[in-house]
Amino acid sequence: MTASDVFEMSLKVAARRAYERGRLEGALLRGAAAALLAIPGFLVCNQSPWAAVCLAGFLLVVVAGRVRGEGYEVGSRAGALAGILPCLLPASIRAIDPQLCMLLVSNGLWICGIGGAAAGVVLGLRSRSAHGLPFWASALAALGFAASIGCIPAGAIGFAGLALGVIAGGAPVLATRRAVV
Amino acid sequence: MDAGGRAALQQDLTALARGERAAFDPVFCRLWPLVRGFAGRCLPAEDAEDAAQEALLRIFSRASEFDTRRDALSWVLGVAAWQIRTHRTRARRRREAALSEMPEPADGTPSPESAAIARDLEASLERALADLPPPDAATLLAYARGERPDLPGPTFRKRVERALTRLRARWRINHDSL
Repeated sequence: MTASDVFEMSLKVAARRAYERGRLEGALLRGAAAALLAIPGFLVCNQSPWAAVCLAGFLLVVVAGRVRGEGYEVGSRAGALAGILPCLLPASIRAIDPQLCMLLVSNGLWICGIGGAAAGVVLGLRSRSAHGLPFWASALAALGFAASIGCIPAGAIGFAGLALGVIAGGAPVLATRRAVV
Repeated sequence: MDAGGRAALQQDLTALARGERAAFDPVFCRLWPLVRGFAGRCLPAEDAEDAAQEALLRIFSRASEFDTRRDALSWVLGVAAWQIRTHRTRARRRREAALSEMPEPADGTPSPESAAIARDLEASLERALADLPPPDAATLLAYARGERPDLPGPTFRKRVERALTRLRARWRINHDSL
C-alpha cells in the first residue's frame, strides 16, 4: 500500500465521519423543530409521566429516522406530520377555553377519532413517495407517539378512537390510490 | 466531466442525500479528483491540496442537505468554491497578521518576506499578462515602458484602458481581489 493510498483511505474515513456528523446535525435540528410542535400538546392538559415518555419517544423516532435515512426518514417525517394533528388538538381546545379540557376526557373517542382520521389521510397521501416496512414502521411509530401525547387524557377509549380514525381516514386514501394505479 | 459522469454523480449524490450509505464510495471516487482539480486551478499548488480536503469534507458534511431537484455538479462546485474562497481569505489574513507582527528593517532594505511577496506579485502579474490576448499584453507592456506605438493618442489610451479592464478581470478571477 503506497503513501497516497493511505492518505486517500484516511481522507475517506474523515469524509464518512463528516457525512454522518452532517446527518446527525440535521437530525437534531429536525428533532428540535418536532419538539417545538409537540411540546404545546404536552404542556397543555397533559403533563403526565406517560406523556413525557411519548414525547421522548416521538423525538427519538424523528431523530433516528433522519440519521438512518431512506424509508425510515420518509416514514418518520410522514408520521410526524400526521401525528401533529391529534397531538395538538387538545392544546387547541384548551386555547379556546381551559374548561374544555374536560371535554377531551368525556368525548375522547370522537375528538381522538377526528384527529386520527386526519392523520390517516395525511399518512395515506404521504405514503405515495415511499413504502415498505421501514416506511410504515417509522411512520406508525412517529404517529403513535405524537398522537398519544394528545390522547392520553382520554384514556383507552381515546386510543380506540385514534386507531379507528387512522384506519377510517387512511384506508380510503390507500384504496383509492391502489385503484388508480 | 462528461455527460455520463455527470448523470452518475447526480444519481449517486441523490442516493447519498436520501441516506443510502452504499452510494458513499462511488460519490467519494467521483468527487475527490474533481474537487482536487478544481482547487488546483483556483489556488497555488501548496494551498490547493489542503483546500481540496476541506472542500471535500464540507461537501460530505452537507450531502444530506442536497436538494435532489438541483444539478449535483453545480451544487458540488458551488460548495467547493465557497470553501476555497474561505481558505484563501484565511490564508491571506494569516499572512497579513504575520507581516504586521514583523519589525521593519532599520536600513530600509526589503525583508526576505517582502521580497518574496514582490516576487510572487511579479510572477502573478506575468501569468495574468500571459492569459491576456497578445495585443492587450503588448499594449500594456508598451505603456509600462513608456513607449508609444505608432497610433493616435486617443486610440492608444482606449486600448490601454480596455487592456487594463481585462487584466483586472483576470486578476480578480485568479486572486479574488484587486
